[in-house]
Amino acid sequence: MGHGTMEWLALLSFGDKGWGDELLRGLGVTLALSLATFPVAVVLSFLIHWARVSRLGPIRVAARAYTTVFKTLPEILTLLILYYQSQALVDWVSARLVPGGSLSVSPFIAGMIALSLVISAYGSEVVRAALNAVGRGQTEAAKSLGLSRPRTFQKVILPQLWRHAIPGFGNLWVILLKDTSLVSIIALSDLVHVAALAINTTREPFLFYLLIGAIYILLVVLSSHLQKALERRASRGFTRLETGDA
Amino acid sequence: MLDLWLNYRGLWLEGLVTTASLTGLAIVFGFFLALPIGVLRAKSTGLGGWLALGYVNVFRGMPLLVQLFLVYYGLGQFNSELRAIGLWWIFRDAWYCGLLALTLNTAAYQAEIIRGSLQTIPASVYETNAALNLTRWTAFRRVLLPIAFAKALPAIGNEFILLLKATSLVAIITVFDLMGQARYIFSETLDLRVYYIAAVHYLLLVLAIEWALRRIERRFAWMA
Repeated sequence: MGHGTMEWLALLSFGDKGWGDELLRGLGVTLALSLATFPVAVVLSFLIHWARVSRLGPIRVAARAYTTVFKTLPEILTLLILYYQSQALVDWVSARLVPGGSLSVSPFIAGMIALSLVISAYGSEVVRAALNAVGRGQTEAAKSLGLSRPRTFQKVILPQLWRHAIPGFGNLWVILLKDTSLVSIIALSDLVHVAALAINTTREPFLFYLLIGAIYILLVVLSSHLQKALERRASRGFTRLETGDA
Repeated sequence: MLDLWLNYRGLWLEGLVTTASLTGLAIVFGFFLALPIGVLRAKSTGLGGWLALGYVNVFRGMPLLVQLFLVYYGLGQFNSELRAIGLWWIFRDAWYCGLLALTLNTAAYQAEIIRGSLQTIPASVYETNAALNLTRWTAFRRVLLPIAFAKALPAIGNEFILLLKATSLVAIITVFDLMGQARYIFSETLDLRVYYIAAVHYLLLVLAIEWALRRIERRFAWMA
């Protein structure tokens, strides 16, 4: 309030007085968490999809329960339950192994697990739709050529799958990027947490929240450009009719 | 687990009402805000279209948590100015701030849904409107909007469920919704089962909404 632009810039400068370097580190944590979680979530998505079409009934039921639960619960609730419950579990185990010792669950790992669970529940649908788009014919053709199932997946299905899965996974990447902000609640020093710390000393909530909001928007816009480029790359060699942008 | 619910049933029910009312109000207010934005996104190539795109990108690009903080803490910084224009009562109260942020947020998502469904209306419908000599406004109100709404219904239903989950974030700005009550009861009891009880509430709410949505969708299916 009543602050000039110069004072605002000073608050954001690098070094002892400004919060520039702290915010940059927060951005690093946000990106690290997103980048570490995403591959795990993608792999889990495939596993959940396979579990959902498994020949074994109980596995199918378990996979359905998994997707229903993690698509239904608010992400923050999943995160808190996972964080506190795993801490309780670790306490229980460590108390038996090393009396008097204590271990604590890292918020980074808890966030990574919780977000992987949530994103993969949605991701299994992306995988299912993409596999449908590739079509059963490809699997059957590969089978008639005598390819093993892993090899069929690796050499025939997967290369064709990406083209159909990129939009869906791109969406999930953006959701993941924004959902990492929730981990600030369990005190991981991501962008939001750093902003809250900065506000505690500077009393400038509007400036800092606007700034990190702009950073998130920038990341999301960049991601969608990258996604468009990947989609173009994956669609090389297909006619307009096949890629659907005729 | 049941004892933990019964001991605090007053709080749980209050939380349930707060969550339900925030979700319900935000989805309805958001829809009316989304209508003009969605129409501009679908139809306008000029300044209006750009502004609508800007709105959508800003409110879909920021985490909801940041939007809540920006409204509650950020705008709260301007309390003397807000007092002067008589809007302080909104920004002083976490519940109103939560409703405002949720409404602005869901409007951006609903606008994209409305744009999508407007764009999939086939050309023949427009030709029929022209052949019947309907004015643009009548055609929009009596033909295009109902069709677009029926087409958008499954997606809006989906958004309804996402919004219900998103309301849990208002607990962070001190609103006592389901999540807020759970946090409070947890701080009293330090019993982890509290969060599982909250989870059951959300699970039942979503299942009930999904059931209701399926029935509504069936009624409107012929129009889409």
